[in-house]
Amino acid sequence: MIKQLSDIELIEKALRGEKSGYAALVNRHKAYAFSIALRIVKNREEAEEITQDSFLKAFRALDQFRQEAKFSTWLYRIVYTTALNYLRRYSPETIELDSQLSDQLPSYQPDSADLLDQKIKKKYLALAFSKLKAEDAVVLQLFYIDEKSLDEIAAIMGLETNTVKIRLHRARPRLRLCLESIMNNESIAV
Amino acid sequence: MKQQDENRIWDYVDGFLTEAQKAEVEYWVSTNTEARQLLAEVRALKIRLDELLPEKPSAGFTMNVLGAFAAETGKIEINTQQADNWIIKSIVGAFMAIILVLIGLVVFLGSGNQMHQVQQVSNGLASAGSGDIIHLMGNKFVTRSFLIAEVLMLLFFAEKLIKRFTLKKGIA
Repeated sequence: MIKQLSDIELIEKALRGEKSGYAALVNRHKAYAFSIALRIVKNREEAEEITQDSFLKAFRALDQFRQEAKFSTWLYRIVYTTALNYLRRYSPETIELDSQLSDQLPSYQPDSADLLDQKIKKKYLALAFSKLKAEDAVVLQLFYIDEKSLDEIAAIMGLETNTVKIRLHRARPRLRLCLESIMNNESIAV
Repeated sequence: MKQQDENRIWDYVDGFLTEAQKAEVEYWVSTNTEARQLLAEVRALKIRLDELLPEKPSAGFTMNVLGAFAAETGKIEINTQQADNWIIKSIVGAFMAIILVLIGLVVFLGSGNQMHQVQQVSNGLASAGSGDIIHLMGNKFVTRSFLIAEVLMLLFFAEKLIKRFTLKKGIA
């Protein structure tokens, strides 16, 4: 029953002090929110702490939530900024968003396509995600896994839509090359 | 291959292109082996990306958030989750049943049975049939070992229960 309610209806329940409203909001959004934090800090415990903190921030300000944006966009923006702030505070050296990663990765080799096509597996993809820079991983996460539009991603990341598209353009080849690099290493190891 | 070219393929796969641009890419792919292979690779990767699910936080995450929020604001009342209660009650119930069965066995078999000593226990265990195992229950060494294990388990669960009780009091 409660699963069928919209976010707005759940927020109204929560604002009336009903625990089920808060609980349903957490249950509905925790995985995506946690994934965003995880892409940034690359550590499950820290990501969980950040996600919890983000929910608390959202709940404290729930009565100020304007319905101009989706609740998920608003919440993920909180998660994103909280995670970035955390990273700035505790490991500032990892915040190099425009790295020269593409220069470091191997160039595209057409003859590896078959190997890649056959052996792409979720675990390698997850590993590739974990090796990407935070901003690349987040934009890919939001676009492909959370299925957010470019406009929504822009709102979450506090960027212009065109900038998001540029980020996506950079991130996609990086993910592919990173995955290819992992797969090649794996085939050498085997 | 240039990143710009690769992105044309990604945009094609992601459905960002107009009909005219799509036709352009399709022609390019049909005439260029490298582009064709890259298209296959990108399509395969896109399928995997679409299948990828978000990561999940730990099982107690929702309770932790609600507990922290309740402790901070007092806006919501948190009760221990019913599922958690059921699990704890089952464990405690099983634990109590084991204690009762063991005490019953010890009383029934008689605590004065001194014929099995530590050495015999080890010998007995090696060659024990089911009847021998029941016989061993009357041995002091075995009985004490069971009791010590049970006391340790009792202390463990008592600590868990006290922690939960303290947490609930703190939240309330």
